[in-house]
Amino acid sequence: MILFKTADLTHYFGGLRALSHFNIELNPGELVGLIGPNGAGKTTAFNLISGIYKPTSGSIFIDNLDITGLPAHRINRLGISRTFQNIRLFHDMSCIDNIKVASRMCLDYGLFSSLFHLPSFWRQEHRLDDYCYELLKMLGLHHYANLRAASLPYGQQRRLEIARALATQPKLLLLDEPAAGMNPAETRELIQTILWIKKEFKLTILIIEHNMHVIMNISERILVMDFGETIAAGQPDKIRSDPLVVAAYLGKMEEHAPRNP
Amino acid sequence: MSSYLFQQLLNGIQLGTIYALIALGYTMVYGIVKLINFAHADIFMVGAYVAFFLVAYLSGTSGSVPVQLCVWPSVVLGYLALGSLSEGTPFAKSFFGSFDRRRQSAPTGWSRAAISFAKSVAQMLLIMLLAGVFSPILYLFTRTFFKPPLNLFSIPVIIVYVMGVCALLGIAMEKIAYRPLRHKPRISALITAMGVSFFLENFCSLDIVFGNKYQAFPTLVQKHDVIRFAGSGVAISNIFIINMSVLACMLFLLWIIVEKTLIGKQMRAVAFDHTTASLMGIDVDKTISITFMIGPALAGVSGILYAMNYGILQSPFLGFYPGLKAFIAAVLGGIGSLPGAVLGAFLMGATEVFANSIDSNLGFAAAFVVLIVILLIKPTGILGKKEIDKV
Amino acid sequence: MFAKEHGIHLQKLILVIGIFIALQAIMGGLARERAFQYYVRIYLLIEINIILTASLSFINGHTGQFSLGHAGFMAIGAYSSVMITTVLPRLIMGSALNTGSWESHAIFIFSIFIGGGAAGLFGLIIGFPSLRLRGDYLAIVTLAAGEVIRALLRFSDFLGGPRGIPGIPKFAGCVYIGLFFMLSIWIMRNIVFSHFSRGYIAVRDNELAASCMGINTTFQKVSAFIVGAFFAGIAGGLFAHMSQYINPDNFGFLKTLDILIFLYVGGSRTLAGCIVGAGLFTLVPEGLRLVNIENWRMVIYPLGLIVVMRFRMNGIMGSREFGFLTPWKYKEMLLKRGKP
Repeated sequence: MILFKTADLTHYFGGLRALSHFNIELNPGELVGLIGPNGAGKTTAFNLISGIYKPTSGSIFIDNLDITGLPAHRINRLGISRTFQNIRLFHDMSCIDNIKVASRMCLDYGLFSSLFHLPSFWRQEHRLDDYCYELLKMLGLHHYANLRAASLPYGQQRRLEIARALATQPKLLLLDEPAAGMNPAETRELIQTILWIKKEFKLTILIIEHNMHVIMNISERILVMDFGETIAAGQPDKIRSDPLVVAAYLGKMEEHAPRNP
Repeated sequence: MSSYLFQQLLNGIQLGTIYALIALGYTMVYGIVKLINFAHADIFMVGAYVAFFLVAYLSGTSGSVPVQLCVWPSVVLGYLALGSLSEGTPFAKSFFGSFDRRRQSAPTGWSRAAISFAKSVAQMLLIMLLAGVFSPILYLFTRTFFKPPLNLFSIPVIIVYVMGVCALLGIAMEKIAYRPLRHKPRISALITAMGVSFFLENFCSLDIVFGNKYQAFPTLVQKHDVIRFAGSGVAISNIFIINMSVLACMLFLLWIIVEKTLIGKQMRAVAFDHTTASLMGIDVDKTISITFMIGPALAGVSGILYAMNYGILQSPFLGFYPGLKAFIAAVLGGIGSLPGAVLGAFLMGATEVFANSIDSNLGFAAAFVVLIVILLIKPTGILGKKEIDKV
Repeated sequence: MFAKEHGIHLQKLILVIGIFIALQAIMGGLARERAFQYYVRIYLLIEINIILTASLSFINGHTGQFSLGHAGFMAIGAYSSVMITTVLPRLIMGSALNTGSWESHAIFIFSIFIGGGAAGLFGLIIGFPSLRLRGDYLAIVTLAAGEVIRALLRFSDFLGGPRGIPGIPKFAGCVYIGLFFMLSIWIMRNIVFSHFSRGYIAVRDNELAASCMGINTTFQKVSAFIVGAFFAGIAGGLFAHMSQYINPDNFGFLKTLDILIFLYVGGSRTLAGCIVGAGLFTLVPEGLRLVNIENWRMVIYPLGLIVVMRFRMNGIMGSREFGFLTPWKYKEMLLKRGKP
């Protein structure tokens, strides 16, 4: 059964065609990579899927539900979450607050009990606190729980963004260049983390990356984009040797042979 | 009936010229530093009052050179003198701040803040001292060069004098209040702008400055109708023609400066992006200062027109409503866009006159409704440009 | 767990509440003496200003919007409550309510809440433009809205027009203002330490990310306006019944400017900032008046504002919150994790 699909998704910014007939189908539990040169339309696709922009034409479906044009927060509550190319954490809040604010459990709070701080409110707060702390622990960030998010090192900030996205309990997770700015050790750790959360949270993941080491090692399938169009799709081996992809993006083949992590 | 409407339209346009000159200042300043200068309306007020005192003196009704004429220019000159005298010294650097020194956070710790505060107070006292030195000089200057009686040649002189005072005031305002806050969040600059506005209004209410009672502006030109459309009662008065010609003159000068000169190009570049402009070799500080010269100068001219049109200066708080309406006009037309400001101002003037003819209290409410409608349809204003936020 | 800290917290809380109640009682007693009425009024005005400043902190501080029309909400609250206790009774019975009977007290309390509700409704109306407008645009629209409310009040003869409404019955003395003050601060504190506030701060910090994480930013922004307006309305109603006379010019931009100064100089991020800002800047002009430099008061005031903005942007209190205002359960959660 298909978890997620888009149908002929197209988007224009004024006269500029950023995305053209983007079609993708994701089965539950898949990890699919999205690669291509800068400006190819990858982040635009993410922005359309997560509801930041309303697509000029085309449709988006999750669990056979048409979510085209819905506001971003509703799309999130229907099971799609994401991280951002430029880290968009809530800098002024503590790490655990970043997780709490995204958590789905907040939807169950009662208005009356919140206004008057009734015991039921505090029960929910404690439950939420425990849940969020566990989530931070799973990603190794629990030491930073009460620290301001802006004071974390860069690599940890990226992990926190992933933790925050997980707090929304998504079915589909969009990762936008999670390895940007990381050194090889951090990158290896990131790969492990991504594979682990996929298994642990039963996620479907769509990942944009420029780091070929990451993509080739973890993707089950890859889509290649250029100038808004999808120029190739398939298994990593096939993509590596596809002449179109090589010409547009990859360059020489030997540099991108998968190494065992 | 339609002739009545047409006459009202003409009145609206006449009112619009006043708003246009103020709105241009708002939009220029916002375009270049992304700040709503709340104190702009008070520069307009200062222009009106300086014009009043100058005309009163020149038309012989006030005896000797009034003190009020000298206060503002001398304070400002004192400030600038202090700045240039100590330019390059640590004294100046801590006072003026500059574009290159990006201080990310305010001085922490109470003792350092107290020292900075004490330094600022000392500097302000020095300025007052220098102002005291400059005042008699200005007095003598005014007495020698600006002699009564009032004639046709004195009108351009008045305009230039008022523009000069307001330009100086604008530069001083920018250097004292806004430049140190350039890299801080916009809220601080907005609050400071309100503080400056409040300060100007109350400072000018002091008796040694402009005083709080209302002043009647001496009639420079007797209002009479120049063109009369036979049989319909519609007339174009000479005041209308003066307003329009002054506006046209100012717009022409502005167009030449912004489009044809190097400094205009620099202004447009800095308005687009400060950092890149500085990398291209443009002195961003100087450019911003010049913008704060031109915008307020236009507001000063508008003050003269206001005084001529209404004949009464009620109090130093008179700038609030025209300033608010002019700002709404600038927003209507698209903030950051010069033609938009003029267009918005005419629209505001016309709306206000039409609404006032129904009931005098509705003028402002009607203008506000127009603003809301336009902003909901096109949030960046009629001729405005969209700001793109990269995701 | 943490019994010792809990004990200390409770002690501080009881101390503060005790001092407050004692002060209210003293002021209430002094109020009967003619000589002291001026000072009592200042004291009560501080409390009203604190409620006003805290209400603005939801819109401007927590949610990061910039509303310049807050006095308009206060006006709506004031006029609505006065309509119920003064204008309508004058029309129906010929005179305003008198402060003697139980029924009139009940009506007064009811009218204060109606005032808050009416203001909240306007908060809803004015909150909607906030969805499409940012920063500076919103500032000007709210500024104009506040002025329009004032113009409409001047325009309406039914509500007294420019002359205002005199002879409002003096319900709001130390007892009522004290009670409403405590209630308002308590509820506002509860909102600040609830999940709503997390949403507000998220919207302030990064609206795009907030909406992608499932936060309904529309709801957050509009609800901030509603909450802020509601409490401003309550403060307005209390003010009206304390001053016994209101006119539209009491609620102009100058009043909004006052509240803004209280908020930004005191600290827009915390309730402590509101309390300090309102308290300090209600007292400072009075102090200056005592020293007899009345004319220069309005000149020094904004200069002080400019200096504070330049040197200490987050206001006097910065990010520090008063200990006794923080709920114990919240502190407990922090301690559980080990504060950094």
